[in-house]
Amino acid sequence: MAMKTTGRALSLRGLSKTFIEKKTGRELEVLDSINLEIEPGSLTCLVGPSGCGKTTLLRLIGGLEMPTAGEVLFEGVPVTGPGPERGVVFQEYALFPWRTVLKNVSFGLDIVGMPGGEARRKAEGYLQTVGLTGHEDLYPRELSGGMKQRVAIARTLAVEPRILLMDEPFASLDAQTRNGMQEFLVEVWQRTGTTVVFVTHSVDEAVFLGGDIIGLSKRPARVVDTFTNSMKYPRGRTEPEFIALRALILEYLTREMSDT
Amino acid sequence: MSRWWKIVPPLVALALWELLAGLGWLGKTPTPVQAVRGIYELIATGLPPGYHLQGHLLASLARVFTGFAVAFVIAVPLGIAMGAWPLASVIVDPLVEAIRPIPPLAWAPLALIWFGLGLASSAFIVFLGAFFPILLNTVSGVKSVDPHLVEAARTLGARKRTILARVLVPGSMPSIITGMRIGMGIAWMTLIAAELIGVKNGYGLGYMIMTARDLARYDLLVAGMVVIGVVGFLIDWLIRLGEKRLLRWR
Amino acid sequence: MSVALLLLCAICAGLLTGCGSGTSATRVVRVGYLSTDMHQLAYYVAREKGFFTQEGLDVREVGAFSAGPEEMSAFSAGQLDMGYVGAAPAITFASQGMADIKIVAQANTIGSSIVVRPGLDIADVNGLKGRTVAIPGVSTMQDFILHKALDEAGVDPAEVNIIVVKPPDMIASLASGQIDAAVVWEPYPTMAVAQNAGRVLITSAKILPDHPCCMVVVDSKFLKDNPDTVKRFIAAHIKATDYINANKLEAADMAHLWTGQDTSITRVAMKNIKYAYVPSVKAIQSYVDFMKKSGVVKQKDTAAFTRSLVDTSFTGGSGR
Repeated sequence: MAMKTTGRALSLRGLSKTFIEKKTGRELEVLDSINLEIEPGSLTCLVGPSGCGKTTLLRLIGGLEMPTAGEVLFEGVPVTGPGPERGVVFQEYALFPWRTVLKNVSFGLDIVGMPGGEARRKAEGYLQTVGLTGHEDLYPRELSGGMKQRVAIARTLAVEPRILLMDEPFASLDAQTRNGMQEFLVEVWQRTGTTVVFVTHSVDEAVFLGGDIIGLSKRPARVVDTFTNSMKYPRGRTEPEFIALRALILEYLTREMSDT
Repeated sequence: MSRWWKIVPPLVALALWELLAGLGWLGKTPTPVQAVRGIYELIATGLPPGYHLQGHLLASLARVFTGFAVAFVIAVPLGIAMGAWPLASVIVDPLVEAIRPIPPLAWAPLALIWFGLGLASSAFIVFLGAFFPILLNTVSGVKSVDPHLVEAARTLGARKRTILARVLVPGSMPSIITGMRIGMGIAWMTLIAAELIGVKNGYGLGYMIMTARDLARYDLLVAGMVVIGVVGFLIDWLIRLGEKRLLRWR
Repeated sequence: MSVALLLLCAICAGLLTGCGSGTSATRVVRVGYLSTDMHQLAYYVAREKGFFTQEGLDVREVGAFSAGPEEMSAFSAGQLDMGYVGAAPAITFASQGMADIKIVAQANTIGSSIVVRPGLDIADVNGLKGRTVAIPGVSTMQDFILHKALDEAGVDPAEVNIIVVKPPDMIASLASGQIDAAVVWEPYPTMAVAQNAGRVLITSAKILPDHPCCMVVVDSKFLKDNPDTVKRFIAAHIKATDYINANKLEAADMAHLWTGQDTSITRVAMKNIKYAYVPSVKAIQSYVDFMKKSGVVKQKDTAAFTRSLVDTSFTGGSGR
């Protein structure tokens, strides 16, 4: 078994998660025996009906939650908590409001004791990557939503994670900004070669980004279907192939949501 | 609307006070003019004579800052611990809730036994006044830090101590400063009352107005009240200035 | 409307007849006193023994004050007709024009002591040189007593650290050695001794024989409008004072009931208090002179001021 996993970036084995509601004491089954293999350098999208447990799945990979059963193997090693090798980008940006743009990006470098000058240079480099050169000394409140998310991505990239876990990072942006950020993400992914797992509820976004698109069932989430998207980047949203795959996924989603 | 409008209501209040007191409608209340003359007398002659306003002010400031500093140094770390670790909260909470409702001044006789008449005694009472607002605001500040920020820090490789120092402390800073402002206000009020018991060196603003009362010098009494009010306002203004500097990110 | 008017007329008529007709109707007096002050025991005795009622007075307690200045403020606000109060606040407020009052009787003389902390080995007032001595307030009677004592011992007051501490806190301060001595009225000296917090160095009787202490004062306007009521009030006060002096043990028990102090305290304390009702203009003036020297009294002619302040006609005194 161990031999088989060495090539994988990420393996999810029989992953289940049950929450216990604090008030009522009722059990809430969120994930049900998820099995998944993710290749290094891939860009995988997780889609599913809203509230199905996509975010929980991502948090388990990130080590922010522990599974009730099964395990998460990252590069063959079981995940026991969060770590800088697995970067997380949150929907809520989660920028430190008291740190400037530059200081947010260098956070992960500062805390491991990297000398100030070096951390600064490195952070400036990542700010350039996300196109925010010249905004170093602004505070988060002075930024638009799209800029905040770029800072958050730069902050995560700065610690050089080997996998990037993104939880609906563009969900609260307006449509135009969102499209721009999607193109930007593809660019960064291609340039850095980092493995990306991207959670979204937008089929359009999944088809635009994903090499593999994993379809989850409604809660408790199971893997229902895997769609492979072999379209070349950058993808045109009006191409027949795009529209066809989009229709296919939407069909599964509709089925999933009407199913009782 | 420019800012000078802000000084109109106080001016109207002063004029009304001058008028009503001048007409004798407020009993033996001194007028603002008499109060201002009283301030001059407090500076020039002193009350009791020889004990000048400057000395009273310095003595009170020394007491209030000593008590406040001790409260700050204990309340902030304790509040952060209570906010960050539920266990600390469980242990300390009942004690805090039991002591908090007791007015600081009620401790005065005990403070006298424990610390005597000097600086320590009034500083202790000031400490009690300032401690709880700082503590409770620190606790709520830590608890109100966005959990996503803690998670973000963890995924960036931060351990517990780093999270405490780099996330929870800066995140609760606005709340801590609010606690400082409230705490300082209460400390100042408490001090004046604490000095009414008596002071060892013969100096203190509260002691000064008590003397004015004993000597039926209500002009000096009101003058002392004005000084106390102005100093309290200035201290708060300084804290707010520091807050603006420190919390530019807000 | 008309009913209300009628009622109002009836009340007015009642009041008028009440004031006009002689002894049968009750006269209302609004009084204030210091709570739990043994010096003012005559008030409590007159009240409990029904001496006020016998004089046809309806004594209404407006306030039991914890300190003299507050009671004098109540006079200033026109809320009191008569009151038992210390000489210091009465004279101070009168001198500042804050209250228009007259002293119509004495409540007690002497009754204070200089108490020194345990372990302070001094034999006399001379030993207070270089020490910290607490008084209840600047230019109080106790301040006067202390200055008088230092003067007689040949000690320069500048060589003594005189500070103000409120009497209830003096005992703790003595016990903890925060202060070396305190000048305070009874029952605090007796309490200090009972609690092993000090010993009496000298009683005020030895420093200033028959010095005035607590007074009965009356609002000047009330005195002018109701001299007969004041006369009756003082008559009850005299009766009560005589009663105390004739029944010391019972009076000590009454003091216990009034102040809550143990009888063992009140019995000892009473020995140091002299209950006397005739105010001495001369003794009061010597105190006024002291207050003038310390800048509290501004009147140029202290003799004239004292004469205008003290009315001995109700106590049959001559103003010795």
